[in-house]
Amino acid sequence: MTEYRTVLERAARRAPTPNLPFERVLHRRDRKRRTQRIAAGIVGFAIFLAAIALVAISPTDRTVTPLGGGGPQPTGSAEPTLAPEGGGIVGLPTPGATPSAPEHGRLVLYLEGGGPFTAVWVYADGRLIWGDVGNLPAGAPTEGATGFVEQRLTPAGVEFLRTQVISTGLFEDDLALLRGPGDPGFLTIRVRNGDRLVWLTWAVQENYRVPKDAPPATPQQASALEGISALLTDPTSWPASAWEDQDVETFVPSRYQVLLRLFPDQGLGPDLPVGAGELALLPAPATDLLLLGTKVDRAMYELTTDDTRALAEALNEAGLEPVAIPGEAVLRYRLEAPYEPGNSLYVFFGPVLPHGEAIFLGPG
Amino acid sequence: MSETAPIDIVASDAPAAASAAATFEAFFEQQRDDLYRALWLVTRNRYEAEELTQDAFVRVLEHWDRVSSMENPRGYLYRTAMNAFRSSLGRAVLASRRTMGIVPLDDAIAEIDERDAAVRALAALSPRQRASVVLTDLLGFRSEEAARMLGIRASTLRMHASRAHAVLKESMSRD
Repeated sequence: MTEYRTVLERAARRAPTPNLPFERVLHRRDRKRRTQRIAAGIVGFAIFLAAIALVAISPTDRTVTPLGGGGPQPTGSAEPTLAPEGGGIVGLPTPGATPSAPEHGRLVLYLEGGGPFTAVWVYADGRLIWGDVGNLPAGAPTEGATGFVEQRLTPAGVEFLRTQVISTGLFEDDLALLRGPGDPGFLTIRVRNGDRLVWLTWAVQENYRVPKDAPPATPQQASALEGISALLTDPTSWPASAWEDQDVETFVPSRYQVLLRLFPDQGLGPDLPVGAGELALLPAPATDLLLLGTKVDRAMYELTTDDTRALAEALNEAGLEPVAIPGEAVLRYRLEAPYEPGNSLYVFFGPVLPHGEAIFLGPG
Repeated sequence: MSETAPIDIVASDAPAAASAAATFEAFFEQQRDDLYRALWLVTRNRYEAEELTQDAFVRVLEHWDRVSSMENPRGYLYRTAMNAFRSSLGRAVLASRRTMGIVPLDDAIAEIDERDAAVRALAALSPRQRASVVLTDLLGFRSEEAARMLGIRASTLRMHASRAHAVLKESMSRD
């Protein structure tokens, strides 16, 4: 027992310093009380608005805006290798493609949602990486498309974007804000402020990133956030001095994470545990390749891009084909789980970005 | 954003309320870092750990009159925190099941993983395995008590802990 305690104590000592002053707990408690009081008063009004929203918003309004216009204008014009008509799936980089360098980078700014791009990551080394759901950028290099493209900023460009975000005054501390009823969009921003990445999420309460007691955004906050979103998703508005290289190249990751998930084909049931039985469903060469990788979490393995390609080839050779889900841009394979009727095992491929996070891109 | 909210429990004229506030603050100062570290180990995400820590203390504060008279307020705090952890785990799984969205990131832990074998070894465990060993081995809760916190049977918790020990042992021997 002592042996494990020693390991755990050692790990615990590595924990970052928490940003948790006592006043913050009191502040949060008071905010919770205020929110409860406000919620009690507006619930009827919210139901009324939700009813209006249901009438006003048809499912066809939820299309993803295609890239283009003010977005990056990529080079290259080959046909997609894996992307079926209408987009929805992307593949692995072309064999021999040079990985984005350096392999690791310090994240300075991140935005997800709120514009024509799904997500954008800005690194201290100047890399600007765009991710997209289901729509490759117009004219993007589709041969070996990974769903992510890369441009380069100058140090001044990185600092320009960071200070524009910080100057709103919304990023002194982590913050979650509620969007109004009937406003289904969401926005998540992280920005480096000193030694830490401060995050802000602005979403409806059903979004798991927003705590139940989050306050609604004030009109000023909403306006500032719309401004950030507009700035970060419209690179044509950035000064010329911000750019080191405006050409858009495919982002080629050095590594991928491969995620196994087992869930019902119908309905919204939770994931089922993935264990040795599910691994055994994969063709033997695929299982071997997975086990060669680093297990980074439950049913998630990290592999080099070459090993990831070998894994995909092993699945292809076993007669499996990538599954295309309209509107999603993630490489996935599906295997039926014979001992669990109605459930399927999915194998997802997510590129690891320079800050070490694997992204499984889908509609957020 | 950084405005200081009115601290009504302290502002109250009632001596009992002021005393309650003082004892809660002392409890907070005494437990905060340990709880945060435990949640950091379990969630592997500093932001989520901060969120859960705050949430647990807010709930304890709301019931402080009752909790402060308990024999083991620390146990109540950890039960509350683990409940919140279980809820957040369910929410995250369900949300990602629906959207295949982007998993919240914490680049700090990736950097630490690279440097520290102990932290890296914990990464190989599932969240519930991590919670089991953190509660029993690190924090010294009995299996039965830790199992109640996680909403599982004691035998299941012991199984999680046992598997975690095997993985930890293997990982540490490799390093």
